[in-house]
Amino acid sequence: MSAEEEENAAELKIGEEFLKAKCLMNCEVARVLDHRFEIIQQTSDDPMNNISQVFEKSMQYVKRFSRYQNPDAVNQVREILSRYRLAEFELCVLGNLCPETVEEAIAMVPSIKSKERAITDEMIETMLQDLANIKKFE
Amino acid sequence: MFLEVEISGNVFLPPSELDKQGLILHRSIILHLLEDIARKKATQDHGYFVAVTTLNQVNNGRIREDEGNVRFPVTYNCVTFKPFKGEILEGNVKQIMKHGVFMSCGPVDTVFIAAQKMVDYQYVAGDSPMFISQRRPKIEIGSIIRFMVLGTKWVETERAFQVLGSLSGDFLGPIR
Repeated sequence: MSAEEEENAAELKIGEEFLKAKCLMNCEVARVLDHRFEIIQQTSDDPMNNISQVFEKSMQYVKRFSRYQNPDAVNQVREILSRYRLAEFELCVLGNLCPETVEEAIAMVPSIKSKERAITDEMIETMLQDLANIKKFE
Repeated sequence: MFLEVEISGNVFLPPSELDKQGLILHRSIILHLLEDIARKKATQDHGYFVAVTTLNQVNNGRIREDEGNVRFPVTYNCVTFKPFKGEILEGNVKQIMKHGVFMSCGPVDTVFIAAQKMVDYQYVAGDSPMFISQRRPKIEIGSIIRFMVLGTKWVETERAFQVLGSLSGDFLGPIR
């Protein structure tokens, strides 16, 4: 990334390599870490000593900040959001913060309304409605 | 943001851990990789290393003549956490001071929001200091806050990021 094109996630300038990297929603990370922690518990006598601080803090964080618990719901959230041709980064911000109104969604992900996209307010509204439904029936 | 990235690196095995049975060698490589990652904690480019998910490739080892160790080039997938400027995150308030609040956000221990970036809020001193506002929920230790990342700084000596946050913006501030 060149110096004049400074990093700014709000405008989706986060560096080529990270735009392509797979972003994960908190609920997806929770699933990965849960699975990993189970394996550690089975294979080690002293599991708490065998995990790094970063692992422990991340696990506490994603547990606290996951909006969806059920694995099916997590898959559905990604499925619904990926219908709108969002960048990985935008998709995960929406999945993590679960905005309730169109204005809130745009404030959280300003790049969603950039000119090249044809995402209307109505489409955002439908998207938020679909996400709210998942949460309701989880 | 949590990311899943593919990383190339090296694993060094001492001769005592070389074994002609392939599976045990593979196991040693994995264990060393996990240990290295836990020790390294984070890098400026990739962010904090949270968990290795898959070991994709182990290339042929080469003996390093000066130490007698064997170097195995490896590629693996790793879940990392990296804060980006402009990103909106949520965190817990850990400490309240007159000139601002300190929060933690996942593996990031130091997120600072200056009082100037907390529009409408006033500091209240006392045994449990807090920031109050006429229109919005108060901010005290343990509050959950949604903030925007104004800037990040990599601290090489601590192998950690420091994050500067802001509450000025729509839909930012304490939540539920």
